[in-house]
Amino acid sequence: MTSPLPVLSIENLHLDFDTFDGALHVLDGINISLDAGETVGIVGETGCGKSVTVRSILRLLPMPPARFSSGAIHFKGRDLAAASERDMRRIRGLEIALIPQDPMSYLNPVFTVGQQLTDVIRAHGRNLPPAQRSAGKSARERAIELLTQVHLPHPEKQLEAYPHELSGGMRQRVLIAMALAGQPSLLIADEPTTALDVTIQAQILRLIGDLVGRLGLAVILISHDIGVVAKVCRRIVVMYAGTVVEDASAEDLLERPLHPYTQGLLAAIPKLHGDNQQLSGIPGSIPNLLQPPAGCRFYDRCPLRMDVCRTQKPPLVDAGGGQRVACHLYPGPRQEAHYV
Amino acid sequence: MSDVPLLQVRGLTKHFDIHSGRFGKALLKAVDGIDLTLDRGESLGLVGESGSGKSTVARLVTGLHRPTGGEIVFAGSSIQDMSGRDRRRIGRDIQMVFQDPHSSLNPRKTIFGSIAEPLTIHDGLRGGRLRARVEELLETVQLDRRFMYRFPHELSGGQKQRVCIARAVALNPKLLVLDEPTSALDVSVQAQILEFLRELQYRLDLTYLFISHNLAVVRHVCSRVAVMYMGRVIEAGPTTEVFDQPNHPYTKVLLASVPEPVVQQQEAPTLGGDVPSPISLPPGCPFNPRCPNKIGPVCETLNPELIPVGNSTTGARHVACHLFSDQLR
Amino acid sequence: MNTASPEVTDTGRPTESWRERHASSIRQMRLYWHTYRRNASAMVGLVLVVIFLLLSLISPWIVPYPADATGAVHMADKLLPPSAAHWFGTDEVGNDILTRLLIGTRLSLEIAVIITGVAAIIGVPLGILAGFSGGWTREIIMRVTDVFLSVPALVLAIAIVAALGIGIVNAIVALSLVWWPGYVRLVESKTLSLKGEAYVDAARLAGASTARILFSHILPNCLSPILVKASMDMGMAILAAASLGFIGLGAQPPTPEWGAMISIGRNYLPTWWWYATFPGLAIYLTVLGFNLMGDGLRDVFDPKSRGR
Repeated sequence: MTSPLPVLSIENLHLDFDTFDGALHVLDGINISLDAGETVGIVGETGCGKSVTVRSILRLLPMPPARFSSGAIHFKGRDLAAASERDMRRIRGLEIALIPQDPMSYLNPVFTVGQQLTDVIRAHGRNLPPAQRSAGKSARERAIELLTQVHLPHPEKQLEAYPHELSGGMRQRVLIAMALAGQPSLLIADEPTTALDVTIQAQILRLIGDLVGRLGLAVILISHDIGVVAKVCRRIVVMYAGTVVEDASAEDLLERPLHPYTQGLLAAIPKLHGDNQQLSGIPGSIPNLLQPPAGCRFYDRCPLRMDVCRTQKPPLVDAGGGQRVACHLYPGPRQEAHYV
Repeated sequence: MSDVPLLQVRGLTKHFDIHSGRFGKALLKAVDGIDLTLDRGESLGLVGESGSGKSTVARLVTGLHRPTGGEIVFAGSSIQDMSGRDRRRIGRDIQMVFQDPHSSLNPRKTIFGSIAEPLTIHDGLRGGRLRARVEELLETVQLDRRFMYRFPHELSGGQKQRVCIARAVALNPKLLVLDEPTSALDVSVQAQILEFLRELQYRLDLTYLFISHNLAVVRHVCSRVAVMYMGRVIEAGPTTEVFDQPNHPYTKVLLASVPEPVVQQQEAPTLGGDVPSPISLPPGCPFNPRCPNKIGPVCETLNPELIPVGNSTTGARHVACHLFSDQLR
Repeated sequence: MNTASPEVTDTGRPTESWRERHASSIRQMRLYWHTYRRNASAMVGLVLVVIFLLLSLISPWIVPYPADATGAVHMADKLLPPSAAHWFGTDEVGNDILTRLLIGTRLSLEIAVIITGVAAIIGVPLGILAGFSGGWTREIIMRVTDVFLSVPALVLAIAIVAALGIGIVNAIVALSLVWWPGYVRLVESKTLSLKGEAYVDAARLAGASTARILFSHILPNCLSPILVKASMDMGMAILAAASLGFIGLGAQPPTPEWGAMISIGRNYLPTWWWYATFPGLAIYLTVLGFNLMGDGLRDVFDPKSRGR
């Protein structure tokens, strides 16, 4: 049985940032793929490159000083890394949409919600293939339809509201509606709930989960909070200092983490219930990206490091059951490892 | 442990006059009559979402805001009406660590300058003695003494927060108010800082008022917790008990909304509606528009008092909800 | 159990050298310099300003005809075109224009420094006070500032000079009195944004008095925009003084002020073109230099434009 072609496939992506002090090797061979209808969460701490990765999918990074030094980003067969700006404009919003972190910065404060939403609808309407265009509906009707889809109460009234009159949760719903306006096949959510209260966050995550189920979207959800990702995503990718260190189903990753960094990360999260054990942090900090280590980037902070880790980069291999990990502890078939 | 609680807050209120609409003025009831008690050596967590008033409570206790009403009693003395010199003297004993480490340090001052400031003002330390004390403090927060000469932008978030802690304990305070001290930090750094705070509490005999929206963090650091909603305390008690067997409907939903890194078995109920604005508070219980356990008209008309409830094994539990008012009789 | 010993021992001199202790500041300065250096126009500005400063310092010792600076009269040499003996020609009383120009440089520097300095000394404290205090203090200060800002500065200066009497000293006084409102505006808005920073609250909790907060926390963080504005103001002050001199209200002959020179020199255009042209060029290059330098400084201090 052949598996269908993945919707998105990032292959061995290397990205550098040219700065005053030299070239920062921000992404060091990223391999992530996503099938239609799949939900993948990318987690990692500051400097891991998760935001840079998704922004390079949409080429939202300033291209000098950022540049792809090698690798490809295949979306439905095309290489986005090599596409022209004109092609990217056709893709952004239409085929791949982005839900950003802070809704207030992404809404123009001097226009009403309705104006901004209908703007987006009309702009995409021109570019949609005829079969997908909303037959006979005006932009306003489509706007109300979208706002209803994202469960915004009283959508007709909200069209006349200005962004500052809406609460944080409602603004985020508006942005989700704008993201859906182009009928994308891939939705990227970059820390969509970080700026929201916990109860509102739960609502928004539930909404995203519903939409995924109903519309069959593929979703990449980025967060520094593993709990958030666990609520929506079937698969979780853990990044560290520009590399993918583990890529597994949510269940496998949370219950049987393989990579020492993942284990450390999970051990550092305080628990809401249960024994009040000592939390262990991960001492040290991320390596200098100007002169990254030759071997594994986690070497300095890894409690289970070996000599080979210092000199050779561990490849991302299948350690069994679809759980992939980049660590010399797992050269092939899956072995048990314990975080001390 | 002494009999007199270190901090007692009674009926504390803070109202702000704000502009609302075109020409109107409105009253923002940030904190609306709360009672808190903090014993020496304890750590009390104050949790809530935006608009709950928890940050305002922090600023009232430390004296950055003046209360509109109510009483703050610190080590037996009423301090809310103190002014000038007396308040500054009390200031030694109550210190604060702020939320955002990146704006808590003057970017133009060296680390030395920032830590030295309270020492120069209060203790009049200078020269070699000042330097010695600053080095001692850096050692207490496990930072190399050479950090003295650096500027804030050269430090990581976790290191900056340690500097802020060093500055806060420089005068040997009795009460340390921590306003979301780890919210801006990565999880692995947060874990280190939390463990460090726990250990520091024992070493320096500190009492903590720990404010956070992150319930798991509060669980880890605080023995007791008070849950706030729209300027009122709606539940209080030992942390483990409140979290494992919450009484108030809001507490239940809050706990259920926390995304835990475990595989979800079933969908937890989510709360509908938005966090209301503290300007236009509904009459009666502030939670009634969103409450899944609303009884009836009494919830819409009468604001429930914070009353003790009996089901506790390790300490007094309180809740402000009409579901429990019958128990009093 | 406390860690603080009431008897803190004096560790004496610090163990690190001056250089080690200030390594961060040094590195920051070098970073500023490198950022500035990559900006071509800013470097041009810097060169012009440095030349200006150098000339104003050493002019009394390098001028070819020192007596001409104060208006010695040699009618035999009047209105000579530029030559080897007089690089910029002579004026209508036979004075060497190059000499007067060079001495005028010194005068222009004095003008620039005094006007800008006085404006900043008046405007910055008012601005910080207005921004920090709020309430009536702020209202009063800002409304008075608004009144001054609503009248064109030069017009107001003319009025003041007319009242005080003409001459370069009164021109400087007049311009200093009208220049400060710009600083109030700039500093007040910066102070408003700084007031809410957490480190200001932390300073209050450390027991800092209002004066200490203003001096030690607010002021140092206002310096960057003040420096940028002051740098541009230096050039504009020279231009303003020259304008007053041009209309005859500022420096009077025989003072070798550039504007006054153009004022007279314009009567000799176009035949004796050098008389008005060279002072005009001097003003142009000086103002340009300060403006370019100010732009360069602003780019250096603005974190968004740095680092690419």
